[in-house]
Amino acid sequence: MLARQPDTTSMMSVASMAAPTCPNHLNSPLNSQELAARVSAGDRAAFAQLVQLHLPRTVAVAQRILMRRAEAEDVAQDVFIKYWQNPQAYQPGKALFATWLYRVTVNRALDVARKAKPLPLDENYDQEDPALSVIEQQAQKQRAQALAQAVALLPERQRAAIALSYQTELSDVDAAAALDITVKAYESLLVRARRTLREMMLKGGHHDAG
Amino acid sequence: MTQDEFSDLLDLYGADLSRWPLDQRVAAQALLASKSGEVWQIYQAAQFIDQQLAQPAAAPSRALLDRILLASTEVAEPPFNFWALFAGWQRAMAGGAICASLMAGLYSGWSTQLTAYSTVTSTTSSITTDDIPGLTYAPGEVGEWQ
Repeated sequence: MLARQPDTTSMMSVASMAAPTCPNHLNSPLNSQELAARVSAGDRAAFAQLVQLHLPRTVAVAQRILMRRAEAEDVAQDVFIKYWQNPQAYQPGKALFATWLYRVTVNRALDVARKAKPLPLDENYDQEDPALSVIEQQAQKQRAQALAQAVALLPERQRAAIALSYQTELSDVDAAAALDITVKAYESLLVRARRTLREMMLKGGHHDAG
Repeated sequence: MTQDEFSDLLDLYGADLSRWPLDQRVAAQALLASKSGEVWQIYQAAQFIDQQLAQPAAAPSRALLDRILLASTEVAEPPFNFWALFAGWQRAMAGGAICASLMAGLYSGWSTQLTAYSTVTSTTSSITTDDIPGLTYAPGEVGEWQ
């Protein structure tokens, strides 16, 4: 695992490096495929842009599988650094960059999940809805915690399918490709996961959410 | 549509009925309109699950981005790969352009050589020994041509 606390003296240079040729990735005419091609040629600014573009979803997918933020961030860091060290690992002709990236993230997160000892879930795993009253918020929080625990009990592959379905914008075809399975197998994972969660929620009496 | 069929479709498509195939959506809406308590419980549980799972994770901090970029400076840069500059059709175009340049170069070199050869042969064919000063025929000596 890479060091998580960098030397603060170097932060300035890193911050300036993160401002690549195209200052705002949202306005950038370069898409992930083009950025990935530049990264393969050793373009560090393109790498910074690619990280900026995909980091939120990479962390979200890992977090959904691992259920813990700190570990999810470690996985994201690991995935991006390994990609920088060996950008040829991504072969443009075979898949979209996002599909490939989420596949690597899912595999890495599943590896970590298998090795990790079970730890309590993050307290603030799910966010509160400010529109609800305090009592409703409390009830909502309890239901959300029950759901988070139910998700944590799902088999890893089902958690991965849930993560790709809800936390990325991948199509079913791309999500199935990211998991290296057929679309039918992916849909089957989703169906089983949703059914288990629904049954657990109903059994727990958390069915009155509107 | 039965309650079991409704549950199966909820598991397959999720609780957002707008994503269901039209005929099944119409049947599901009719079932929900019947106001069966159990059907609504199932539907609301599915809605809650979808809503919770779709909640975006908190945005990663700037510190995480900086940490990744800093760590990337501490590892060796990837080796330069010329072909990586071109992706997909651009790679094919670049390859084609290089091949075309090579072919053009070869053809140009070959045709220049041909012209030079034909010039030399046409010139040399008209040269006689008389044209070369000092070169005389001397039989019986070391060489025939001196």
